[in-house]
Amino acid sequence: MKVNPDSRFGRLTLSLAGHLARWLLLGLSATLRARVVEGAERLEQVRAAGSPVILSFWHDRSFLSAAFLYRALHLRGLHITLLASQSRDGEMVTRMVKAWGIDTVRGSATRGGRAALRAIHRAVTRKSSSPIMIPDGPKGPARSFKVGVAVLAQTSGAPILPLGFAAEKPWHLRSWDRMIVPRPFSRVAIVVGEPRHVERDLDADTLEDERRRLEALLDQVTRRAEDSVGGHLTPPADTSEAEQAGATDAR
Amino acid sequence: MDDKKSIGLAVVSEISGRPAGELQPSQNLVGDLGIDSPKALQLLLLLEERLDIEISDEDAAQMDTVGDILDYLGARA
Repeated sequence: MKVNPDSRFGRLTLSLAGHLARWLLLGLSATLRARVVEGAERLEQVRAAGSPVILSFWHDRSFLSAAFLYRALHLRGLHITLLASQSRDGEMVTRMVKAWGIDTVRGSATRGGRAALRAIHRAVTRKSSSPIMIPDGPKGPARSFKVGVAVLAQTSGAPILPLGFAAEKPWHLRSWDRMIVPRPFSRVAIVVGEPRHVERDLDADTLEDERRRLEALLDQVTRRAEDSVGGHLTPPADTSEAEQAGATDAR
Repeated sequence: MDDKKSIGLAVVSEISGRPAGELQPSQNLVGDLGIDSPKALQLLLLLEERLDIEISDEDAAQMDTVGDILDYLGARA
């Protein structure tokens, strides 16, 4: 069913969906046995310093990450800003996290990107807020690190904090990235990588090298999280949302 | 061309990788020069830094072509 987010019915529907998703997420997360298996001290340093970091993980780990970031960082005093797309999904996510008191900026590489990236830059440099930047979002290709996140780190001076999430024998949605949904009461592993600064004076070629390094780094922490729950990092789905529109049924 | 416009053109050249002499006012920043969102952020920050100005979001949103940037800088002179 198509919902017009500007209509009264659409706003109500999205608001209800946002609340429902939030409670489902919190309810399911409460049953999980989540543990930071590597880099807990880095997370503590970030929280204690209060300086902004760019929180990055792959899009298929979004569901896994949400409750953890809310509890481990936002509730413990780190100001977080989420970049959400201008799509209906982005609208629902926005409504969900606003109820948690998390700021959002709307836009993506394809829609409203210029203003959104600037707004996120300001949130980092003026409000010391830590943005959640999903480098292969919102539409993929899966596990492809978009250069915008590297440029944000380069121009703001905030380091990128690579985060790996994995769940034991999870479900996968039939979305472009095969989004991971943990089974109730399953183990969840989190790996916090070394914060990585991006030098300010990089030419285009060196920035591309850095983007590839960041891509590999994010794969590395995700793989280590998978290893600790007995899973493995599968090759990325070679589809983007444009190629596989609409399908979100649980498999 | 006044100083601000020259600096603006130099910044567009630096970000787009095109020689300043090849830039035309009618060229679209995205379509003709490949200045996507990350490059646009670099461009705006560099303009603000080199010219010691602050560009509002409303003004930034109006900058679609090289000419738009030059006109904006000219109006601020």
